[in-house]
Amino acid sequence: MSPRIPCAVLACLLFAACGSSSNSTGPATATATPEPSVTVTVFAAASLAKVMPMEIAAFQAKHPTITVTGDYEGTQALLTKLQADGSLADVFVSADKAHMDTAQTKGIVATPHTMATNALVIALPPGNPGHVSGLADLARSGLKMSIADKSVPAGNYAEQAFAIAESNHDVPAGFAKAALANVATRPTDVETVVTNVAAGVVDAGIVYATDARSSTAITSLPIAQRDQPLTQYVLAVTVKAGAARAAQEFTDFLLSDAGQQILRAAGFGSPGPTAQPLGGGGPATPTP
Amino acid sequence: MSAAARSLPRLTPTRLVVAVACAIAAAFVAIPLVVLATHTSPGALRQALSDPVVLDALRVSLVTTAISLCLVVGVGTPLGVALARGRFPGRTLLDALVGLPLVLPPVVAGLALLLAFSPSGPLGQALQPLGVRVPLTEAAVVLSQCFVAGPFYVYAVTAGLSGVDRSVEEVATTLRATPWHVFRTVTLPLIRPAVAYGVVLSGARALGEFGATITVAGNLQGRTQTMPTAIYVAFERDPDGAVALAVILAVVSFALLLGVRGLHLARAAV
Repeated sequence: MSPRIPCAVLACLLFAACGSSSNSTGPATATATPEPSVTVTVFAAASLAKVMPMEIAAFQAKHPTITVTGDYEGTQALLTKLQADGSLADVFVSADKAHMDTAQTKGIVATPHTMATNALVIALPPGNPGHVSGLADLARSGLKMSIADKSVPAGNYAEQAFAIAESNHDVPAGFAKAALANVATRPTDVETVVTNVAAGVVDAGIVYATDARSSTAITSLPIAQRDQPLTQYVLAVTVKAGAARAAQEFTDFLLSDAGQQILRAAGFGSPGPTAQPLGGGGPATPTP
Repeated sequence: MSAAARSLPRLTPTRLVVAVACAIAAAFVAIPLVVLATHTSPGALRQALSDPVVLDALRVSLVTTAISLCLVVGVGTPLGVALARGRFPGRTLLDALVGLPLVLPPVVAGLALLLAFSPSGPLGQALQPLGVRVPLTEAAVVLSQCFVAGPFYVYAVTAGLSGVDRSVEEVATTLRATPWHVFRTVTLPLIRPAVAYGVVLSGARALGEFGATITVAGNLQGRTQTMPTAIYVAFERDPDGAVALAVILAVVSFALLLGVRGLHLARAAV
């Protein structure tokens, strides 16, 4: 993403999807079967960029005629693209329920299901130059922090965690306000928060436990369970999916034991008992 | 498009090719921008111009661009003179180096600046004793803008100088004027249109800078969030608001470039 002039920004974002096909693990030897191959495009939250290719590889091994390509960006950016053209993706995986609710209300997706949960951690650069030993330190004057933009699920969750910790009296009164005053940048995806911390340009950041786990360039401190907001990954097949059947097979796989096992191994939490399916059914089935 | 063709006195094959090329170029640039403009309304523009996020972004953009221009002119003028007039080893190399940011993707420029100025980078370490941290600050916005916009100014100065008749300067020198006096009273007035052209072009580029800025300066409203960054963020949150912002920036940039055109004509008339 390196648009140079503002209009190019819009143009690039609008048309990026056309040339996307990023991070595909490639078709799994489709030559073995005579069936025509189909391609399923998955729009998945940036924090799934490491685990989703593993899911895709496992799925394609079982379904040689289906090629799955993944596009990983901030959930809000993916939703914006889908609002412009709902046929850009066959599957949408949001990093929160709110964006999926919007997608459902606007008739972009069918019935959503919770795929997994995550947890927030405090990310620290090597050597912990800010001497951060817990949430309360994030409010210390002079500390520099990176948290995702409020429009990004991870950024919204981080603000929620600060407020929950304060209302639980786990941190002094006024903590949330002071901590937010220490924010030096609000990137548009959580991956950039990891990059900021790894480069040491900030003293701390709020990222997902799975981000911290998969990056060797940062260390992390846990945030108490009772201060965690509910971080849900919600998936759905799009109403305008070009490869609806294959998309359904892929989402079934993600929710199956095999798919869930891959998520657990990467550190994601189970969808929980309240999940699947969400919100009492999607919009009316697409009228042809 | 056809109006351009009709206004030609006689349609020769050469003229047809030229007319088609002009029409394609004009349509290529104009159509997307006109479509952009039709996606907004006076109400949306008014609303955007009273939004504190937009006002902050406009202020950050204009202030940083002004500072960047001062730095670019301050450093770029002697540099341009040296490149146009100097005879020193490595001049060609320096000339190519100065132009490198023109061809580098801005994101690469941002990454290079980030690595150099990060606490573990050489420049970051050099600045550490002074308590100066560049990444994610207004200084990083200015650095990004200077990096990508500087070459436009330097090359405008060298181009202007190459068109100056040196005998005029030599006459002044024989009248015992000091080199500085000659430059100030003879050379500078001659290249003033070129300098102004460089200032506007490089200012427009600095105003629109995005890739390097978001990489090394980050995104914080009121501090490092420039107009292009605000448009990028708004597009993901509120596409309609983003279009209004984009139209505002496009209008400001177009006005700047029309200014360039006027200066260009003025220079041609000199």
